[in-house]
Amino acid sequence: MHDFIVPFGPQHPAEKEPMCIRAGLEGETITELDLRFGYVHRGMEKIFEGKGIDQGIYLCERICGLCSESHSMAFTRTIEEMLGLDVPMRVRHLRSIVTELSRLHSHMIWAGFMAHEAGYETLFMYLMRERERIMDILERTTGGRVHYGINKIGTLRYDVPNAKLAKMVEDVDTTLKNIEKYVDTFRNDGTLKERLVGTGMITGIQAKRFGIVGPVARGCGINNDVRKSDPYAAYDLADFEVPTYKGCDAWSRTMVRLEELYESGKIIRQLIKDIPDEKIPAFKFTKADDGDHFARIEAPRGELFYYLKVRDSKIDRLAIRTPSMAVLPMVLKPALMGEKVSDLPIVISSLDPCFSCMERVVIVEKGKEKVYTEPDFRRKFSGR
Amino acid sequence: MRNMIEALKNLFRKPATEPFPFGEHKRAEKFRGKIFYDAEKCIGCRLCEKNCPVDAIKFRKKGDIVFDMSSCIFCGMCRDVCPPKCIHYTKEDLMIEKDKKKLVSDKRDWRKQ
Repeated sequence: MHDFIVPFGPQHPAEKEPMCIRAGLEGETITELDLRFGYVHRGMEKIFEGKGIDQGIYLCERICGLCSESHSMAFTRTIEEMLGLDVPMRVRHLRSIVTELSRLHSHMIWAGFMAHEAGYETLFMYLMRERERIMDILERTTGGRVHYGINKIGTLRYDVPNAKLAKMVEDVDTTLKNIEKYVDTFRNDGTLKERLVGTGMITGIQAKRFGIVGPVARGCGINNDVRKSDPYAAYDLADFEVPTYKGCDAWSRTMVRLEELYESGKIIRQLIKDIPDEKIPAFKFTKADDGDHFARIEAPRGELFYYLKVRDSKIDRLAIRTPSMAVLPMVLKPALMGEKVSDLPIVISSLDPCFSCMERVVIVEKGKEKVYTEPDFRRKFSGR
Repeated sequence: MRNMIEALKNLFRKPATEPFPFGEHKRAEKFRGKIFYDAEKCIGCRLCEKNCPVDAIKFRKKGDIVFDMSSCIFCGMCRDVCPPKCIHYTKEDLMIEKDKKKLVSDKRDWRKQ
């Protein structure tokens, strides 16, 4: 039963991307939820069909702005494992370093946004200022601020000289030292704790049942990290910990992500220290036999899963399960039920949603598969 | 009191942001901005057209290739595969136009710049 329905979105100032939640309220408490997705479906999986393998790497980077390096890592891992390529150690090290840097800036913008939702505009600005240093490192080393384009199959686009790596360590250290104050605010500030502790509860049993991944699962006390359980690139050489919290609430997720910042810094320092001096192989066009393979990696938001099918040295099918897709549709309802309506933005952003990554189209008609071509689809669903 | 001092200090401090668009606008050495195409060096191999992931490159004839900057994703693939290295990425990143056609570059347009 509800007294009235409050629509939240598709356009809402508290949300970065369009989604619609119609919340049925009883007083101020949410008792019913109607989730509506599908406002930013881009048909990326369809675009991949028929493209060459070397082209796919750049397209899959464009799936997400914050985890763009993770997507290209997942793609290269899939195809390299499929071909059985032996990747030089220096390439592996550099790839891991760039991925960790992208994890740093992704978690920092997330922490800033969390503060912004809780009403701490200043903290948001401070975190964005510190994040800028990481973005500058990435621009210097890879040439792009958002889409790095440094990975190639079996190699890298350019080598990063050791002098630049030393400067990188300095900058990362400065950033991590500067944000200590802000992490302390998250940990100890009364107002933030009041808003975050006990909000958006997802119990450990629910998390296991829904198969949740990433920092959300780690905030429920489940220790799952692909970097540890199925190491790729150079992660098996790095010594780091996976922070877990047992609070199951928004505050635990916040703390998991903030502690991951320091773990990422640790990994970067170690890998730069141990990086071997090798020559990076030159770029060659990839030729692959028909076949399929899947691989997974740890993106900033959790486990990222790629399934790739190759035919005639071209991509025949690429299925992607992004971490948001594994978390959001299942968890939003149990996390939001029984919360106050004013906590709705905080709970949603504590899950770190990425809606444009997780929009898919599924058409099932009486158990039979039905294929829609693009004109059919437009006629039926958008009326154009 | 501490907040007061901080607020007073901030009156005389420079802003942390870049003075965009009026001040100096620095880009890294490897930055991939607008494409520059050197028509004289081109050998007409069509590799750039074949390897573009978003079909933003249209080959007309040797030395006459059209780049559609409105659909370019700045991945750098055309530069990597070009045998005589006649495609370069400039540091120009301001490509805001009201008319989309202005972003489609012709050989003649590049000569003017």
